Amino acid sequence: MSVDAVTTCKRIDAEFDRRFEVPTTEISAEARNHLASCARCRNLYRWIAEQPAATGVSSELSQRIQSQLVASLEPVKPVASIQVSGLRFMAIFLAFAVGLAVMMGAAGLRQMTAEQFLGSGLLLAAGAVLFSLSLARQMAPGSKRGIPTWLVMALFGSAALGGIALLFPWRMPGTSIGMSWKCSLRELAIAAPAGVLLWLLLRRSAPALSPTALGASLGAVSGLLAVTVLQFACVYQEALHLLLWHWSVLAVSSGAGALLGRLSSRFTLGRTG
Amino acid sequence: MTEVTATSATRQEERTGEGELPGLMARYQRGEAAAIEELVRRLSAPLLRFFSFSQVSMSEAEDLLQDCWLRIHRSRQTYRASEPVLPWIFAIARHTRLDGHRRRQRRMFREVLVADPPENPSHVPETGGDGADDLVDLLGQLPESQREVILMLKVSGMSLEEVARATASSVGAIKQKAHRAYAKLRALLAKER
Repeated sequence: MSVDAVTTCKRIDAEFDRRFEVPTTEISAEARNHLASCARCRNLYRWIAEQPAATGVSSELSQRIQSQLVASLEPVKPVASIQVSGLRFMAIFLAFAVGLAVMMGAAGLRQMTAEQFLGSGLLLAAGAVLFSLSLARQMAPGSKRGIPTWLVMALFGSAALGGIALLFPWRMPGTSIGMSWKCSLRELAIAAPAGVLLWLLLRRSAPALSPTALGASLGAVSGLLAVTVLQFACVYQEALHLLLWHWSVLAVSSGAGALLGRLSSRFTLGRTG
Repeated sequence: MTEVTATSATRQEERTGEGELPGLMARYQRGEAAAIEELVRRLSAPLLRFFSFSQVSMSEAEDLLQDCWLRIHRSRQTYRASEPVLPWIFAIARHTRLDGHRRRQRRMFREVLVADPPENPSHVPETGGDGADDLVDLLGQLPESQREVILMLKVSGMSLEEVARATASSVGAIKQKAHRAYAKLRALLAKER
């Protein structure tokens, strides 16, 4: 193959690349001329431009599917927009957080400075907004891409780690490990039923979603709810205590949610396989 | 070249009527049987093509198609009228395909555990010759994420934006995957012919 021909082939390749992006684009006259003389490019073009052999659906299969679906056809109410669904999750989060805070008291508030209260409040609110929107987005297959679930968690986790480390003093916790452990247990006792409740709310959209991502998001929201309640209820407002015994529950609940989601998909596959 | 123009026209024909899909979906959500019958009639062919080019036999592709329609039916309330239909449908189809793949792997693993290994463990696609087998073989040599993008772009005739929505990805990422896949396919085709 001459140098000229190779150059033209490369130009044709570039033109085909563009065609991949916009399949209906017509090729240039120069490319057409080149195709007439170059078997390699002609084959490539045929492969790109040709629609693969049509795979027909038999009328029997089509009717079987139609009758299956029609047999259980009932009117359904479409889910709300991502923004509305997100707001609903935030409202649920807020209602639970306020209710539980009233029940458990807010002794921790008296230990905080105004900066600590504002900083941790902003951090928790940002988490609630991010996780609520992430959940709402997962309820809509095929919607425009948002921030991936894992990135939302990584970003928020880093922000939380930095925020707590900067806002709260680094001194030895004023409590024993045995007492600190109780904070984590109380958080888990809040996160677990909250996760189940949220799952019941989301169940109607679950079949089409990624169970692992959904489980992780549910775990994150319920974990954050527990962290929020204990943030204002616990009297030990030291960075080490908060990070080790409070905020670590967020990571545990997200991981547990992801694991449960994965196990549930395996169980479903096992049942249908 | 005339053949090529004719096949482009077929793809165009398939894409016409897409504007009616949101209306059909809305009627389907209201419980109108005629709407779901029309949707099954219009969308089953591109869906079956999507499944049949995934290195499975035609009967398995048909099973996946049925499973996919059941999932669509169970999740029909998650479609929002303001959104395009194809990405919603193919996001569900994508999960159906992935679950089918995992299920097949589990089944093969169990079979290997209890019996002698099969002589030919790969699935033989029944795509009917005329170049389609070549395409299945070529796609089989791509990584899963690139294969999925090429399946949606080339086999199902979706746009970059639609593929991005269906795969919860960005248009830039889809372009990049398509270009990488295409470069690999180009190298494979040039080697073969």
